[in-house]
Amino acid sequence: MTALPGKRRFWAYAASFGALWGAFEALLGVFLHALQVPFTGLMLASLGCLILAAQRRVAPWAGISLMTGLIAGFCRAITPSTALLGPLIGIVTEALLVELAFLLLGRGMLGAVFGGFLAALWSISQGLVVKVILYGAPVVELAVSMAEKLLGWVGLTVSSGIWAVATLFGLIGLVGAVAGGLGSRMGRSLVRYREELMASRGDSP
Amino acid sequence: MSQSRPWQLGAAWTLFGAFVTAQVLGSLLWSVVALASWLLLWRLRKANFFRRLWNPPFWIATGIIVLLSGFFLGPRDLTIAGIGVSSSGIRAGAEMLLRAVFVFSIALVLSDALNAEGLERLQRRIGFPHFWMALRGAMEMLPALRNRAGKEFSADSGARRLPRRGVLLRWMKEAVRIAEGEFESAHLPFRRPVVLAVSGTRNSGKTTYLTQLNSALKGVGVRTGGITQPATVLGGTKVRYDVLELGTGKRKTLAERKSGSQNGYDFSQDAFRWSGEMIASAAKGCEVLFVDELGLLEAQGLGHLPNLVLAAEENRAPIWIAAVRKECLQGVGEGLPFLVVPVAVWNTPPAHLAESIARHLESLRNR
Repeated sequence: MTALPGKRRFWAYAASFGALWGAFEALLGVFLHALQVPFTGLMLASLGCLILAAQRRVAPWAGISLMTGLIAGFCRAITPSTALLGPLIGIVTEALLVELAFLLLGRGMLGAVFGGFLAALWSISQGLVVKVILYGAPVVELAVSMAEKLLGWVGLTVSSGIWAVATLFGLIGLVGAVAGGLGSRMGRSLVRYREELMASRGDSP
Repeated sequence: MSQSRPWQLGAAWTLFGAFVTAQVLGSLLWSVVALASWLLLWRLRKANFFRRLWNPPFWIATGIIVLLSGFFLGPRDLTIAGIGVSSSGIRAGAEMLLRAVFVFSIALVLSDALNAEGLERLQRRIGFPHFWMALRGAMEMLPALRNRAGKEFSADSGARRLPRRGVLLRWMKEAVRIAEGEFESAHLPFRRPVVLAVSGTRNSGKTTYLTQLNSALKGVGVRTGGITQPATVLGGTKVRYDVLELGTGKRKTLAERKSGSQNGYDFSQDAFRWSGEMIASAAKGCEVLFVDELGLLEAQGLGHLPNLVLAAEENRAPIWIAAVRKECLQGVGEGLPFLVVPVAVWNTPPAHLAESIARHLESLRNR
């Protein structure tokens, strides 16, 4: 058995990891959403980052995270469920952010952590972005106006409100960053596993 | 999704443009007209379109936003039921409502298009063959992966739990194994094989044909495996059937003639188990899998049939060739979860069929 040529190997990894991510999204996503578990989006995004970060160690080719996300997104989209377009957009955007992080910072731990951070932030921002797309710019004006009033009622300044939101976003980003880092570490085990697999077949990786 | 008529498609694009223009120009009246026409057009195409627009969380959220706009956006220059509200806020709220309904309806239309048929149309339009091939591969893996993942999430106690790190690592190793192994020969895992059923009456030479075909396939470099069941004949009667493993030549006694036994033979369960292992192993590692003597037992869901169904779970052999007793063809076909094609091979020399199969396998590898 010989090693796969580059292009086929690229798509083989994109397909197998995309199917894996899509299966988790379809199974866990539908299950957690049905139970109305809070931060479901964050949990799924972190899981996705973990898979992408691990995959990038063993399949270090530019563009593979994005293609894996596209495949996972389509796999999730064809799963019978009430929401189809939202998960597809969410998964593909997360994959795009992770891909950008890897392109900017390399396929190592740093890229994985930054990618996880961005994807986790997106998972909670997606709802807000969708609202802006749905209702247009006035909804932002409305939110700011309401926030100012609310802060005034509880006796807080605008800057303290901004700090509170920034802290929340930082914590959420941290969850994604940890998932990315963990995925990158697990990726090392996958590299070792692949070497063992190749050695047992008498191939060179 | 129903097929688009050209005028409907043209009207949809025109109304889309009209609504966007009305929104940009800030004309509430024309936005309402364009949106109403847009919705009616989709209602003409899909009978349940208005019912699908009824999504309570969306309408409640939109209603709250419209109300809040009246209170929080702009100066309160109007009094409704004794409450001061902003006319510019209400107008902004109304514009948001129209826009939200428009975007929501587009999302519904796109969601409808996200099915296998829609993906196929998209593929034809944009090309990008490697991506679609990979997507097809992923979708073939998906049902089995989801079934296995479902089992992983259930603890022994039956309580549901989230995947742990060890489980995730195991799954990712499985993904690496699939990527490194399965795609090499274009044998996607869990692929359903096509079963060529060499059918004929008793003593018509099915096993002999299978043996010759196996030799011819090996001769043209095809990886074959599986079992045949040669019979021992005494005085014109078949007194014993053996299971012969094609790869190693090992054999075990499967059935011996015994009056008063089931179907006139005494079957060895140990030999059935062993042949099940041989079939499963061949299904994982060969391109063509042979199974001999599918008859009355298999038509009733017994004999080799459970072994075949089990082997199909992790099958990578695109072609199975089975000798099937003619009168049992329908029963065997109904018992197997994939296509069984009866083939009239008696006039086709094994070497010719072997060449056709080899060419087909080559085209699969090059896809």
